[in-house]
Amino acid sequence: MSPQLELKNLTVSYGGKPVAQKLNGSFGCGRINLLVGRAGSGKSSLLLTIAGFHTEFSGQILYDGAVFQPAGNFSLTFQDPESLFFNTSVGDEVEYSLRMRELAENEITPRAQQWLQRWGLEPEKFYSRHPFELSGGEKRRVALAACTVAMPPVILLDEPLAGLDANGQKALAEMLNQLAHEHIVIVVTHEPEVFLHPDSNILFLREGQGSWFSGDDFLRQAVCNREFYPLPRWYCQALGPFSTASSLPPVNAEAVASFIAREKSHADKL
Amino acid sequence: MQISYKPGSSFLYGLNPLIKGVLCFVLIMFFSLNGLQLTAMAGSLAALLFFAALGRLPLTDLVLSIKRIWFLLVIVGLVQGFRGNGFELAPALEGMIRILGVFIAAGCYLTVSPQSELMFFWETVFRPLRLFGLPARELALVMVIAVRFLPVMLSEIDRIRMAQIARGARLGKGGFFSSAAALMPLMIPTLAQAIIRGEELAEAMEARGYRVSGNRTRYYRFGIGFFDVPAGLLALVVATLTVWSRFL
Repeated sequence: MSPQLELKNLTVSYGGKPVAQKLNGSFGCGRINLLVGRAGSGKSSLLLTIAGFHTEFSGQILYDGAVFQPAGNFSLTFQDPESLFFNTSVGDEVEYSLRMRELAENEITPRAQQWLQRWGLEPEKFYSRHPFELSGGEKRRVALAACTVAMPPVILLDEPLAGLDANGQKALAEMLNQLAHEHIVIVVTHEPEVFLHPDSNILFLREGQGSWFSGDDFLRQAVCNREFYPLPRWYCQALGPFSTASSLPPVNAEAVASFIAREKSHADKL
Repeated sequence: MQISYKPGSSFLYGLNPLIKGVLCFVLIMFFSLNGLQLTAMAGSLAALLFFAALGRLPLTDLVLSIKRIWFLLVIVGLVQGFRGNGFELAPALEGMIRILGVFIAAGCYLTVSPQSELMFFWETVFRPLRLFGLPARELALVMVIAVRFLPVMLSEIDRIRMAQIARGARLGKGGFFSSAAALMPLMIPTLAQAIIRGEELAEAMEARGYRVSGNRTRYYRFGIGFFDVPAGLLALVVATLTVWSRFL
């Protein structure tokens, strides 16, 4: 059985005031775990708590049944990718994690270059450039590459979609889906539709309380009730008549069109 | 928690910047030099905190920021404690109270003083240097920027530390010496960031039309208010107490 990151009665506070209370549930591998909620609902605080940066909490965070020791076992990308940069070249940024994990010296550069390529950044073009010289989307991809290159068991991403165009967002979702097969990937986002799948695991933080949903349940609730979560209007309108279907498609025009065609042909047959 | 200007409206905020600066300077000298006993020093620190609370300063922030100097406090405590034969608690505590007093007095001053008031204070203090042909305004500007940059640099160090831990560094592990050694990789990126921020600041100032030369007019004019007289007298009393307890 793959390891789980479990929250047990976790209450996260700021200055004595709880921002997320009594969270119970778990994040696992095999799917992207999403943390959603309005601004200020405590999503980023929860992420920082898991990372060990925020220590004002009660309850437990368990990994594979034991108390989670963040040091060396996670990577985190911040909302602002620039916050992550402290080296003078993209290559050094990506190599840093590998050096920290004491990889053999002759393996570091080839692996870092290969990983950068995988994130759509040509090593020949980017490796020796200063991270602050890059465009917003490129900075975001360098930050993500730098954070994931060492493949820690827990990967935390705070608003990773900001600064990426539609293609970049799609590519990121695909990359994270691949990583999620063997790692616990937790994503804080205001655009869950980019990552949502019927089997996604979602922790929805609202008014200090956390509710866990499967992707399917989340989509269904959002389609039935726009107040619950503001998914794109076209999606809610298109799927409103099908909200009782056993499974809803992801927020993707092609998937929705084929779902509706399938449902209609099924209804016609009946 | 970093110490920086926090807007407010209490009597401490309303003091003339020159009085504020002098009072802060006198308090720093008092905590550094006074020859009082431990109880009197602890009482002085409590009085300082009482006045800060009376002036509605964010005491929690000030107290939490003490954790930034815990290492200095421990070192001073140890050095002072072992000054005689074996370890003595009273001198250790005295040393620590001196550091805390200086830190809290400076913290209160920075909390109630916006940039314009700091600038006014330093310009006034440096004005006599003009007689010797020294650039008083520019020296004042350098002082203000240096003071204002300290919290920025501290938060920069925090940011880099977090970025390194977020990618697998184990900075806090492995005892005192390895923790100290682990701080070394922070230094170069912090220095690099300081230079980058310095350049950005210079560009921002030029973009707003700041020039080194020429007579400058003042947007804010500072007068003498109701609380300035008692505050000035307090500074005089504290200065007298410092000299009396130390030298007489």
